[in-house]
Amino acid sequence: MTNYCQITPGDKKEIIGSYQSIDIEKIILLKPDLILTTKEGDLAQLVIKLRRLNIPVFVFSESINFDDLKKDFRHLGILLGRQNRAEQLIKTADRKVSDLRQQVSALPKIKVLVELNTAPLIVAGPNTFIDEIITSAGGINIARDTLSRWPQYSVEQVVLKNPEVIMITGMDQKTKKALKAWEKFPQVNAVKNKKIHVIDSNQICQPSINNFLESLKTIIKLLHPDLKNE
Amino acid sequence: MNKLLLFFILLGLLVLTFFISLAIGSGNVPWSDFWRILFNPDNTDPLSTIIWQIRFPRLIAALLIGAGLAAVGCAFQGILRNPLAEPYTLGISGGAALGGTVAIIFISKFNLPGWVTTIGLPLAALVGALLSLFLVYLIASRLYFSVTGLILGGVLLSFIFSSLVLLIMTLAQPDEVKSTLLWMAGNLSMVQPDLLKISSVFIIPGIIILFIFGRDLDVITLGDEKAQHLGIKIIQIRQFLFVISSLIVAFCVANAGMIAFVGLLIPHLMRILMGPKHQPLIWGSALAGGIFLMLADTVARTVLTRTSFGQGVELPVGVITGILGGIFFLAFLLRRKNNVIN
Repeated sequence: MTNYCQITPGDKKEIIGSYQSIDIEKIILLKPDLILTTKEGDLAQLVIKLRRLNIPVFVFSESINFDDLKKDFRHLGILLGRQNRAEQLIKTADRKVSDLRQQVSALPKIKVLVELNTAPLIVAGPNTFIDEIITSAGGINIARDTLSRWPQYSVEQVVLKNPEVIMITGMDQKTKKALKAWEKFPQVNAVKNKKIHVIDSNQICQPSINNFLESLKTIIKLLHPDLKNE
Repeated sequence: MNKLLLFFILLGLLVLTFFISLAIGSGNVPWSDFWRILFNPDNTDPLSTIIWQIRFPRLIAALLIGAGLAAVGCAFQGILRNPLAEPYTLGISGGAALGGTVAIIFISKFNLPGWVTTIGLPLAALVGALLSLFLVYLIASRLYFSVTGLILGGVLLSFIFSSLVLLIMTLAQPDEVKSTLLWMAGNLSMVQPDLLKISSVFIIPGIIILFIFGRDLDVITLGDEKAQHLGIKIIQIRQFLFVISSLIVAFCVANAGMIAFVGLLIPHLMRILMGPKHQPLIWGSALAGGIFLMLADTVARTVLTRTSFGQGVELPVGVITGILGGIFFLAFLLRRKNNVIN
């Protein structure tokens, strides 16, 4: 566990550091059978060190789309000797996801902006987990033609591209400020029609097949409120 | 050259830059629409919103901050009789940035009322700036206020401050790190009109005060002993001008983070045009600093958005001032190496 994991009270798992800095000595003392990590967060040096110490490390891909997530999950199933169970779960999730995609495919595409930070404005760009979910949910991420995955975005472009929905990730004090900041631009459709939503960053920013499915359901509800059942 | 003529040339350039920068941006506003919107703001028109609510406050911020930093640069170079003195090199920007980082990271942790978050950032930046000034002063007083003592103290302090900022960053959440980094790099995209109004109340009178004390700065430049013989209370004036300058810097940093080189580059260019006297130097630098930062920010917010791969992506203006300022200054230094560093 790291400092950023959601910690359930009473959980006795050891915290081994933060997203950016990991306590390698603590890891060695815990004698892990397998270490799972991700390409995000720049832990390449740590992975090299751990492998040199003969500790098995599995690095998840950057998991920017559902197919990558499935591949990782399958791989994980093999590593843990639970291949059949993994295949089963993948199959269920896969079916549900394609059902959902099917449902929204005929609906008109909705322009969306996903905001991660207000000042400066940082948004979800192309090749991100968020972008993939938005697209799957029948939306168009207005920031998807930028070069950076998490760009500092021009407010002018938001006004011009006029998103119909704005989503703000996060749960704390910052989101109140973020909501208030948009009040200045009443002619943006999302502001005019009060379609600014706060979404749980724990769900949408932690890629896994299950989170993908759950986030997809959440986002579809937000983008197409008229759509019956799930 | 005639000072009055120069004043009008700079003023004209300033107005011209202001309007050109207002017309240019990532969103294409045709000239015909631009003129219409300029005289008839219309809240329902997205182009009008872009010009009046996005570009206008940002340009005002660039103008104020550029003017403030350049004027402060002049004052510091005069007080310290050192061509390399500027808010950046004295550690005052660094202190303000540390205060700001602490505010950005910690304010979001607590459920504070909205006005605290608005006031918190400039206040923390001001505390940081004054703290670093106090420390630089303390170090310098141990070294009998020697010019090298002040500069060296400032440089060392900025190293300590930037290490503390890095310390806070390693403990912060990844998304907070990115937003803090973009703020620290010098960024005008986050200018808040409320904070800008408060800041202008300090920055504009601050520049005027520096201008009024321009003659005293001329005398101080002659050296401490001569100044004392001429009846200037050198220590008091120095302290007073330091505090005024720190106030200006704190409000600049609170609005837009650390914007490098404006306080160094602009006064040096102006010295060529204006000569060594501080009063014309300060108003000249304030005007030129405003022009420079408006131009730099226009580049920062458009250079990538006009490419096919970078649509909508903005750069922090500090990156542009850093690169442009650095290259200009290097060229300048190599050409006049004998004059700049005596």
